[in-house]
Amino acid sequence: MLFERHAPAVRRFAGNLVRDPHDAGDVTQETFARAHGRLARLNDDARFRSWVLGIARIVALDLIGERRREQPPAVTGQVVELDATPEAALLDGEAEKVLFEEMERLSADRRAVLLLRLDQELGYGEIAESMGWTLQKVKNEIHRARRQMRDGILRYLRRTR
Amino acid sequence: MSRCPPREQVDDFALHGGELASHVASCPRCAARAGWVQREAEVVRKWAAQDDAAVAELWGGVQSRIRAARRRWWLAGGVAVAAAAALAVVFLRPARETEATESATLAIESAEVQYRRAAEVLEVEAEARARTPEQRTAIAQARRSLVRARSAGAHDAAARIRVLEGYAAYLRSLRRALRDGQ
Repeated sequence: MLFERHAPAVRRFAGNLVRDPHDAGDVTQETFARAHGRLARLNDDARFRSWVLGIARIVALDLIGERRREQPPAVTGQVVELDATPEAALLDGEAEKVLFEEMERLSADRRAVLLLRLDQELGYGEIAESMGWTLQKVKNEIHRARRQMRDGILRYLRRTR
Repeated sequence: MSRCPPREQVDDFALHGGELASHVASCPRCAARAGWVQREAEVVRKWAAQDDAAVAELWGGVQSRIRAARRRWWLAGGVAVAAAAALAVVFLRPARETEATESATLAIESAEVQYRRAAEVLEVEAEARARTPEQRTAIAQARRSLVRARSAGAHDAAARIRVLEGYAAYLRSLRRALRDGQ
């Protein structure tokens, strides 16, 4: 029952981190196998989703490390202030492609924290627990991920003007 | 226009709505920020949805992994018993006693206390994960073997140092069992 309810979200999150359908399946299976072994330690069923996503993140990062596929975080350059704002650029369909590319460039952990917030819609506290980070670190990483995305749009605007 | 709230609150409003509606409606800066966050979230969700896939066929793999983990745990538990039992055999046989000096005895006792504490922590974890009565028995047997070895060593310094080695082996076995059981 827990598998049926939560596996789609775990599978999606795993795929978002490892970027390979076969590996995402492996990560999902391993995540639930580990969760099964540790279920007794979870004393609040309401926390299952953030808890299992935290396990999925660890399994995915292990796999990424093993396969040496993790890309270094993109180095964000000096942001050039432009008249056009990222907000305006986002109305442009092309900008979506740019943001997709920026998602791929985010480090696995930074991508994970952004996805937990925006896609999985966890609260900051739940993310902190899931990642094993402090609340402040969660906020900082989400802010950095967003800034990285925003810088990507600004670079795109600079290129297209 | 009222004073702008912290950026974090504007972001929360953009994602979940709430009390800031009137402020955001009258503040171009916050409206732009909220618009960006909403669009960003939309794009992120769209990007994430690319990895959606059926999951029903994964359940069989989960079950296989659970069974494999149980087998690994049982083997690792066996190693722990073997390590402790081997030590017990060594110490239960008659040995020439070598009296320890007072300071050596104190050092050995202190080390034993440290090992026992570490073992207790790992044993709690291992017992929590044990899925069958046999596994719990294996842990209890290993612990009893070490206690017997400790008694047999009595005041023999060399024997008690080897008991310490036994504790080290036992801890390694427990750690391996817990790691493999993950």
